[in-house]
Amino acid sequence: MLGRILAVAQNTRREAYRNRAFTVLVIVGVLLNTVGFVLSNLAEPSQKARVIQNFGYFAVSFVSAITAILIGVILLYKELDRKTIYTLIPKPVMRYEIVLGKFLGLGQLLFGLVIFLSIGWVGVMWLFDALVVNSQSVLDSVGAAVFLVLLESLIVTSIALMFSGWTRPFLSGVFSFLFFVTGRVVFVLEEHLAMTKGPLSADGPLRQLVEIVVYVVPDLSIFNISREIALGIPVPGHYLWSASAFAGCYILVFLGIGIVLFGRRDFV
Amino acid sequence: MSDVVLEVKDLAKRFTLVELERLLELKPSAVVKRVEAVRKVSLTVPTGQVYGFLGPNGAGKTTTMKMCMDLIQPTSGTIQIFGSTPSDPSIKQRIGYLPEHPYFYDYLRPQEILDYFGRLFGIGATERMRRIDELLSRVGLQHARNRSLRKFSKGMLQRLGVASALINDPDLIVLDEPLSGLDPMGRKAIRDIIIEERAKGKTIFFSSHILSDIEHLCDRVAIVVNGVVKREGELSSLLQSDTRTSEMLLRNVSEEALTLINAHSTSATDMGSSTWKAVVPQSEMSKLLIQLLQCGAIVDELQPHQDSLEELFVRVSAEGSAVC
Repeated sequence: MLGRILAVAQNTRREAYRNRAFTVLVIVGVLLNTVGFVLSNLAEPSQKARVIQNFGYFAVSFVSAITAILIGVILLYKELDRKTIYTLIPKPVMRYEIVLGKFLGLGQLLFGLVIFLSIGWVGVMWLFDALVVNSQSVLDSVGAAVFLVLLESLIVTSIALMFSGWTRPFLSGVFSFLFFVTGRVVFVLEEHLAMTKGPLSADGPLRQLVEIVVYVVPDLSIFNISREIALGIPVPGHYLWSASAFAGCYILVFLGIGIVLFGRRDFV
Repeated sequence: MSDVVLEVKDLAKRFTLVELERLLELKPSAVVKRVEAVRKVSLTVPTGQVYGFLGPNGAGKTTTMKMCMDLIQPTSGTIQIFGSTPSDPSIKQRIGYLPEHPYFYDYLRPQEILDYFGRLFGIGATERMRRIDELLSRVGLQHARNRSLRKFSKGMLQRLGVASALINDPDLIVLDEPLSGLDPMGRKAIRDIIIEERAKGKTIFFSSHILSDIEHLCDRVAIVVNGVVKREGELSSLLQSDTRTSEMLLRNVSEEALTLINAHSTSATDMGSSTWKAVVPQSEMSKLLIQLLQCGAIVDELQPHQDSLEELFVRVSAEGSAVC
């Protein structure tokens, strides 16, 4: 089983590397990092380091999430659209192995991408003396941030794969992006639900809808620690463990749904 | 080893199509449509034979093959391959499949694609390399082994599809229209491969529109029309059992005899010098023969007229269409 999953993963990685969309996303990541230190020249000297840190973090986080959505959506759908699935399903590979292989291949790709962009980010911070805040190195926080970005992009990948197994790439791209954006603002919705005044304070269809959204969509803001980096606050180890468990649970659920939907599908 | 490799019984597939653009009509019947692609397909593919699956376009051949290859779930009926179901991975290990229009990852090269499929079958690296070399030579693609598939013609992709169907040295080879889109050399190469594989004791189940190839290659055939198998069996028996006419060569044919011939024969050909060749339904033969002899005609030859596969195919297709 593992050999087949690894074979699908290797092919997924190879396909993604040779995909133009991936090349464009890597270039966007590098450009965003570059824009950070260009803009930092416009900022006040005390804010210079923060601008560089934030732009670099944004580059890694945004590009990896968009890569997870785009490549995740494109890859599985392309198997169906180009009918390469016709040559794959009759082979002794189970459908769940195909989904897991795609996830693993994309995970490896994202790992490489996040590490590559992070090296650029740290390099820029090192060049412009942004690695130390309040006499304290931010390297530990940066390491934690990179790890959390990777977890977040793996969740997004599992969401993209879940959708791409049963709908068209445009729709699955839109759904995945909405999930991602909603995940980033779930904490805001939770705050509104807790308020005694406001549009969500009274019982009604809107409040029920938001409650469902909050319940279903993972809170991706827990993977964002840009504030801790900017203030030089270290991230405790148990936080990373909790975030890993949280991500693991959601990935299992989304992949499970994706496997069920993909397993029941007819390839006409 | 079992005598039967593939056994399909009363297979049916009904698709439910949702036409969202007709939602505004507010009629569920307009939005949801049911299409019966396969209605009743039963066939038996014995070990070591070449089995031809014939039918006009849209008859349900590809859908049936896809159900046998676990790509589509049947609505009803059963499929047994080597005594198990099509989704059984240990059964898939023994099957090679070429889809109707083989699509491959166009960013890969032939060697990479065959290597990938070989890995899915769990074939070791050394053995994979040996088989890839051998198969690329057999299908005539050795020269293009490192060329990107983007630059492949349709015929080259078809050849690569055949190679990928053989990478696991399968016991059952399922080929959906393997000869379409090929030039004469390509067709000959694929035909030769089918013959070679049969000689090795492999079972080949294939569909084709090219009846001369089916007639040349197959031991057994099934003709499917509108999702129903209309004829199934040994090719020679099918052609024999469908013999319903006889051909006679007559000399000394008078005007009166010619009138009788024209009235009772399905076709009559003037051979010159009052000699005629006529194809007569067997039901009319005895009566016509007596009358012709009474008119002074001389019967030189009389033999059963055996249909070609094409004639059988056209007749069965017409029967099937008339029923529907």
